[in-house]
Amino acid sequence: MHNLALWALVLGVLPLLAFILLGLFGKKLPRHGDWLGILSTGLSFFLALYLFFQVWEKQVVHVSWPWFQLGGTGLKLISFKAGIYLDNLAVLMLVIVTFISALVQVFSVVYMHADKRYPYYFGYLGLFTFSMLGIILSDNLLLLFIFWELVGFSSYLLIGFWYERDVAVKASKKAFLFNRVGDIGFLLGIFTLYALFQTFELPSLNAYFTNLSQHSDYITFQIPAQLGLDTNLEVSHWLLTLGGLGLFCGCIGKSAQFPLQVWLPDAMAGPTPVSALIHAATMVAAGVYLLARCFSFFTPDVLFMMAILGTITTVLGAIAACAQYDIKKILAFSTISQLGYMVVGMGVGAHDASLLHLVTHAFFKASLFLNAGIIIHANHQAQHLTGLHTDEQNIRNMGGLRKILPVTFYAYLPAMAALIGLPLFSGFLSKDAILSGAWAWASLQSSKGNYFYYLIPLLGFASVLLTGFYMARHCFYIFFGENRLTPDRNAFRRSPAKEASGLLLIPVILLAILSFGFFFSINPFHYTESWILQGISRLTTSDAPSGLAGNLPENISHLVHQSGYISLGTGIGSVLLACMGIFLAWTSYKNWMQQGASPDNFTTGTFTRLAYHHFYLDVFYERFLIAPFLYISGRVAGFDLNFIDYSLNILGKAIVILAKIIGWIDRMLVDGLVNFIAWLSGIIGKLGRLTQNGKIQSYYIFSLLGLIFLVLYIVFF
Amino acid sequence: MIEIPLTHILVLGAILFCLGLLAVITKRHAIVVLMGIELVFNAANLNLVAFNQYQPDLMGGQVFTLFVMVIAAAETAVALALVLKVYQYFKTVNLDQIRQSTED
Repeated sequence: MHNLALWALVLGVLPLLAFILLGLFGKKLPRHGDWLGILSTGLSFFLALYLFFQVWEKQVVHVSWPWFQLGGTGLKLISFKAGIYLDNLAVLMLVIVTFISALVQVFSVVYMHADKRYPYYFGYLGLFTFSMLGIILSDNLLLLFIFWELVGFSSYLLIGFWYERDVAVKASKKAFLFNRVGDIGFLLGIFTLYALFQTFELPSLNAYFTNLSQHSDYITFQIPAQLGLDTNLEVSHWLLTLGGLGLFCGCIGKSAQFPLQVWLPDAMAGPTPVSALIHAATMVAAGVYLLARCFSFFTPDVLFMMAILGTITTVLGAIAACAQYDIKKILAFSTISQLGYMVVGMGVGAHDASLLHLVTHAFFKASLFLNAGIIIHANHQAQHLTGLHTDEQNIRNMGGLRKILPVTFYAYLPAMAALIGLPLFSGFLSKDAILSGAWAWASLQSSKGNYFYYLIPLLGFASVLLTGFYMARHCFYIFFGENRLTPDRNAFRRSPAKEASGLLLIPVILLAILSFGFFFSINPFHYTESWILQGISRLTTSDAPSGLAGNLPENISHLVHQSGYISLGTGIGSVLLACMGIFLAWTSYKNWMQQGASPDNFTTGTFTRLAYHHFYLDVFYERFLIAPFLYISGRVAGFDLNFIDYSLNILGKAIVILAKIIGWIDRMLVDGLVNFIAWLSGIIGKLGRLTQNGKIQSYYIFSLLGLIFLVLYIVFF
Repeated sequence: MIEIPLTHILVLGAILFCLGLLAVITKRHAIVVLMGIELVFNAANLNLVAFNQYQPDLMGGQVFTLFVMVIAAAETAVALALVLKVYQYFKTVNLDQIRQSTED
């Protein structure tokens, strides 16, 4: 078992090695080192596969090493350990992350060709992969937080990779800062847990959350006696809720939930493969992964908040996607919406469904982003060849690519179908799972008579409709009709025979193939037989029951099993809604074509404008948070400059004056005293010198006087 | 014979001495100073002769006086030689102008 942990360590460190080597020697390597990045990630992928087959459904690996100590002589010694924890979820995520990272790097070989910072790009991707693997492998929250921050930093490097572009620089800063806001809450949550239980380690914390008894407003934990805590620790409910909300904050920031989702659309300023890796498959999934790991620590109140925020995010993201014209922004808002689904899944207790959706989403969304990359690349080439310069990412400038880039189109279709949730595709299974779970949750919660709980699954269904709409719209504008840039179809293709480089197409095709439902469940219509789902469910049922949430997950899955019509209903309902969405998109597209298909017609309706501007959230933040803060900082800076610096200058001047006074004293009095003594001795000397005046007669007088005194002395004394 | 009290002769000697001293101290001319020294000598001679009465058979006072005169004469010769040399150097006999130049 120790061996496996060491292999996991090697797996994690390989991309870091690539980062270091590429950073130091990148430009000197042949081909600028892209093979080094791909090789390291590829090796990590094979190690991940090996670990997967060793750990999945077989064992759980947990190894930790001493890390650092605080305290010691005189103070209580606290030691911290760092370790690796491998269970079903971890090895699954390892495979996904390394696989998609490797594919993205292969894709980038062509996409980022001849970029002047080419080796650093692969280095940053290696750093990112390392950080993400670190999050997955960590066994304690402190270590996870370190990697969490590192992931945020890597994404800052990658989003702002083309730093000459002002848009990219701003976007990278925005992403990092909004992540940081979430991380504040995350830290507070970690601190709460530590303050209560004196440990960061996830397996230990999960163990504590199994032996508990709930009371009206406090919860009693059974703690093993050797830790020096009360064996029956009583913790108030609201403290645990706050801690759980704190942990959730980390997810809000990283996984772009409302209200912190505004960084994700702007992050599209980075290179497209980066968007595929970070903002589709991995980094944004880190938040959901965190929720899965910390699932036992969430009180029902926190879970309810999760469900609400997740629903809001889903709906907002879907609405905003309907009014966008940038090929990547639509996918970005779609990601926000799908992440909302995952968080809703967690909130209603269907955590396994949520994780299944994470897995399927990673594949089809990465495929869609890479697909968009091919299209952007082709458009770029076409613009070079024809000399026209328009916005290459505006879908109103595209069209007809179905016939021009057929392989791309056929690779697009499965991914799109999976995202919309059509049967036989992977997305259908995971969406169905979440929606059924949500419906079962709502019926459980509303058994007390309050039917508002049904709002959450209903809004989820509304989002399915919107998803169908915006994805179909995306598809029609890009692939159908005639091309609106140039009628020359060879301008887009690499050559008349070959539409694009194999290195671009193969990753997209591979991921598109993985969008079929076959790989996730033998039965394409029923998700409960998914082997992935069964593997992940064991996450909480065997190692650590659902902790504070009680029996919520089991109750939900039980309910869904019992009344089979829930999953049937959600399945049929979602398919119908998706088709309705596609139909509505078709009519909207037709309208636009008939109105002239101009690339500049801006949205006129208020609702559309609201959606296009992302509900003016950016404006809101700018005006009510950032501007006042900048104003305050400006005032404080002015205060510092005018008052504090001014006072210091006055003080400096006062010191100079004091020094001058002391100098005067030194000159006048001290030196004066010395000079006076010298003058005095001079005077006495002058006086004395008078006796030596060279006149004989005065010498005679003095000797005579001396004789008289001598005689007088002898006579009288 | 009228006895002259000893005191009178001593007082006369003292007056002569003081006059000679006055000349030595005050006069500018070098030769005049020498004359003043002569006066001092002679005042001492007078004192010696006055005390001769206490040794009449040996006549010590008078003999001593003769000795003093001889020495005075020798000394005057030497002094005059000195004054001559000084005059050759300083080109003057004015004592105010004869001084060793001491740097202030």
